[in-house]
Amino acid sequence: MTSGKKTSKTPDEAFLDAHFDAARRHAAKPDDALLARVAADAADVQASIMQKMERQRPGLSQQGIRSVLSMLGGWPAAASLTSAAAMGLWLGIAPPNALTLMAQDLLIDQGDTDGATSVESGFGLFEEML
Amino acid sequence: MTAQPDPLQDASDEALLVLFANGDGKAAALLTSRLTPRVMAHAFRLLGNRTEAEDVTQEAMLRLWRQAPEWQQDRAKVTTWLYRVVANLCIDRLRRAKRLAPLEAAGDPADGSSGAPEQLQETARAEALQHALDALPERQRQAVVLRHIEELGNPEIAEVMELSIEAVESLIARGKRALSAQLRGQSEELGYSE
Repeated sequence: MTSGKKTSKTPDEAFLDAHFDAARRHAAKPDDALLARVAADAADVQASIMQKMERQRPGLSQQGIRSVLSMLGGWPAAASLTSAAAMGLWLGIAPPNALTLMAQDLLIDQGDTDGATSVESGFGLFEEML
Repeated sequence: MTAQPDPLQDASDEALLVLFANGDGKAAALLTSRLTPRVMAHAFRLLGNRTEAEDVTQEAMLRLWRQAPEWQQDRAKVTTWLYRVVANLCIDRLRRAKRLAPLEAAGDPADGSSGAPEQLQETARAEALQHALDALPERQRQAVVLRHIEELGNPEIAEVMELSIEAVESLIARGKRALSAQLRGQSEELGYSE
């Protein structure tokens, strides 16, 4: 490879170019030890960059909770939903008598007399708990 | 089974630096093998001392790694940035030492066959040039090396040196005149007949 881009060179340019070409071919090269030090520095810096990025990123669980809450309409909506779920569970375990009678009426209306006789208050769960 | 070509091999230095900042270990290895020899060669040409050139190389590469998270793609080329960092580090060392570093072996011969007369002449030319470069003022040396050995264009050299293109041309012209005058004295010894 020659450094001269011109087609015709003065003797002085040719003289210098011969030296530049020689210098390019005899470039000082890094030895393995230097390459290893540079690679080790790269690994150290990269690890600290990753740690810094990790610290700056919000936790995944927090992020997940926030997005679900946002979909539901925020904290007030989530509180109402929790109350409704608790009430539903309680009605399932210990329904009031009126609810049991209503369930019997409904099943008898549909002609399921065998099923109606088996409907008991709380479907027997409350008694079992006691 | 034939090995698949690595798509990262063709990636630009700038793209690899962004990948490095995102934790890609392969990008780090590629940048190390691609840039360290260039940085080392340039540092040696500016300093003329292998040990100091190695220190500058490690420091310049370390600065590059640290710069990676803030690197902007539309910024100067990675190599332009590196040449500037290397030059600043070298000039700092030269000014601190207040001396010209002794010339060491000008790198390893390309093929190791150092006994061949042509090879010896090549080595002698490279060493003579390094001596002559060492005697140049810092800025002239930097401009000549960037233009005639690293083969950068004048606009990029102007960017590296933070000078106008005219100032770069002037530095190169003066540097070459001084080099030529120094080397002429050794031309017979080096096997040149004009």
